[in-house]
Amino acid sequence: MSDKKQQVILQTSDDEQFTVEKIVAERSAMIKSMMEDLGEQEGQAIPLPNVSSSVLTKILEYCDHHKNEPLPAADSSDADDSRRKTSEIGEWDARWIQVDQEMLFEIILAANYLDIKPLLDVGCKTVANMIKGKTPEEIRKLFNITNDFTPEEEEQIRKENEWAEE
Amino acid sequence: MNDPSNPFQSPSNNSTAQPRNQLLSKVGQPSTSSPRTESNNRKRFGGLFASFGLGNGTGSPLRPPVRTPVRAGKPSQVKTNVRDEKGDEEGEGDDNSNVVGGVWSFAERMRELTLGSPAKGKGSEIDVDVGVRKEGKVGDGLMGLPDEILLHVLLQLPSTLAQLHLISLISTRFYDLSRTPVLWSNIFRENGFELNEAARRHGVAVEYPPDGHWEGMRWLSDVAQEDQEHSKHQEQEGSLLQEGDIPIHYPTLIRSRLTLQHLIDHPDHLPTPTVMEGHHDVVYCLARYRNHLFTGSRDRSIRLYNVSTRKSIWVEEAAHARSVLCLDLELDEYGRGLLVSGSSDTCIGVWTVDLSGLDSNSPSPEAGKQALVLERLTTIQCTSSVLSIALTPQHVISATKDNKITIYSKSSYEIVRTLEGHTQPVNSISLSPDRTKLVSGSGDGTWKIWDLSSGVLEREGGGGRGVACVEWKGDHIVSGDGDNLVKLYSASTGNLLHALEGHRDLVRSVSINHSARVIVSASYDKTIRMWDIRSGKLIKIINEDRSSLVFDLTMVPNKIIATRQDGSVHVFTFGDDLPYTNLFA
Repeated sequence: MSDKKQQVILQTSDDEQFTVEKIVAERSAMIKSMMEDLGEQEGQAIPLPNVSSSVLTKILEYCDHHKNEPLPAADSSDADDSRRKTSEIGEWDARWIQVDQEMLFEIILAANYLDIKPLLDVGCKTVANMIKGKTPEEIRKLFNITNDFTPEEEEQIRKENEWAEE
Repeated sequence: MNDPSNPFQSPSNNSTAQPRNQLLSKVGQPSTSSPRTESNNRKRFGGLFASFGLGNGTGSPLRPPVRTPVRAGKPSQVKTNVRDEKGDEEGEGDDNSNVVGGVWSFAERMRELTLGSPAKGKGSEIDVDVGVRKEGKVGDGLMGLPDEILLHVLLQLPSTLAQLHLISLISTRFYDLSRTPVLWSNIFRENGFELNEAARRHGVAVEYPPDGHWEGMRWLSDVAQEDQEHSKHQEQEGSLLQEGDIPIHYPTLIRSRLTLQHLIDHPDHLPTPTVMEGHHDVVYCLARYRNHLFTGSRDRSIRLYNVSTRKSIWVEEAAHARSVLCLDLELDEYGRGLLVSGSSDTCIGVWTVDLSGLDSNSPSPEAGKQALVLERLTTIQCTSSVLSIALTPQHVISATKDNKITIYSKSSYEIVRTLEGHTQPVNSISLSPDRTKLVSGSGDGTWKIWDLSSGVLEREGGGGRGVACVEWKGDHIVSGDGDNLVKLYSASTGNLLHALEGHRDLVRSVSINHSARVIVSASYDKTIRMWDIRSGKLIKIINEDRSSLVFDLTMVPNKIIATRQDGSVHVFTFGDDLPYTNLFA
């Protein structure tokens, strides 16, 4: 345990294996608890059937960059959104997450699955920034969302909302 | 009462429930292939509450972490329901819900396996789920994210109604997400609004409004009796509600609170005055506990009123040998504790109080008597008229006409310390929010801040003619004085923030309400004025009649309570018909 350069093998959904430093892999609370529960099993790959190699490559960049930062408290409250809102996306993170939408959502799903809370925050903040200041129509266009309201429903919702918009 | 053109309103019975159910199921249709029934909705939102702290034991504004283990266990139960429900939908060929169910159940299952807990759910289908996810997700983009993550995205947006309204218009799925209570409770907090202690302790977010509907700024209730309303909630929310829970429909809560604020801020809107009778002479002082109000009078009695019914439900005649000048209360959440009263008979009365047996509809003083609401514990003899009084967990503190502040032990009623420094009578004292410090206002024109444990004078300010009243709330100290001014200070720096000019005579009583963003003041000019705490501007004079002097007042967001020279207590209510006003702090 005291060896700083301990290695972990991660295996992605497309059966690629990644050998990474343990402290890098431990950014993922899911992998960390898995390792703790399974104990040290030399050469045993940890399967990540929900993460592709392209996404894992990208995420490992993030984990490597942040490997020396303190881990968020296990079980830190999800309701503590004030913390998230006040902290902006860091400069490095902002550059790092400049990817196409498809990759962005893959990263978010993987961050959620791997339980990397700060990364999930960065991803969700990035999406929030894309939504901010846009009309519903612009948001639909940007994310290719179908307007599935009937005209009557849309009218109802507008009516429901209009009291506050004077 | 039901408006057939408004399917969003709450139905009052089964026959009118139809329009809303239709819409709900229609709205629900696209994101899942099963109809969006009420119970499905409940499970779905129950899950969201559970994930984000609403309805569970941690981090929720509604649920301080002091719940029973039973409560703590409930959210996971709800979560399981959500998962099962999503699992059911998988069979119906909806790619989207497959993705959602797959990712989440997989992640959770992995955790269960690694933690060694018994496997639940559909383990054998993991590989299938993953396969579907990989094919189905590409191109789904944002809509491929599960609700929990989309909500996480929405939580990063500005907590404003306008933003939430835009979100609700994107698609049916976003409409559903925009109803999530945590988003609304954030808006509530961002506006600086607060719930009172009872609501914070017992409030539970629900997805159905109380029975009634909005007509502009008015709420028309469909149910006359509170009880009925409650049982309806119970029924709708099923087992999610427990005895003692206060159901809160957040969108209704916010609309109510914003409407109330609009009424408070509007210069032309005057609150509705009602009168509480009982005393035969000047009512000098008041002390409020939730819906109950103790008052002290020149008629030597202490009365207890129920502010909801406006009835006097208890009277302690001859509480003192002369006028009752000041009161303070310290009661626990059941309404048990102490009342202290100060009088010009130079005594402090110490009383045990028990409001726990009082039904809010207690009919008469006689019925109250049997419950032994107020019982004299002891009397402390002072050296002079007791002008102001305060209770801390350890001490009774009096301010007297002989320029002194005296701290008594609450266990022995012996003098612990005397704070000397004022050169004129100490008219008014008020504790800091943490009750470790005290501000005193004196006829010598100054106010002083004292540290109670050391007795050290920490800061002073003022200047001018005598200070008649002080109140410390948050980081604000507000005073009223003989220069006809209301002055607002920062407690931490002592800086004067605003000097509010307008009264034409001595300012006898002041009160701050931060969540309503106002200061109210009563003066010997017989007006009650309401000021904007941020700008320092006069909003309005709320008592048009100006028929009597007001000696003491207090404000909760929807009410100003004022004690008067003519023996009455006036209650000025903003938005009497608004829902949830009893939950606002």
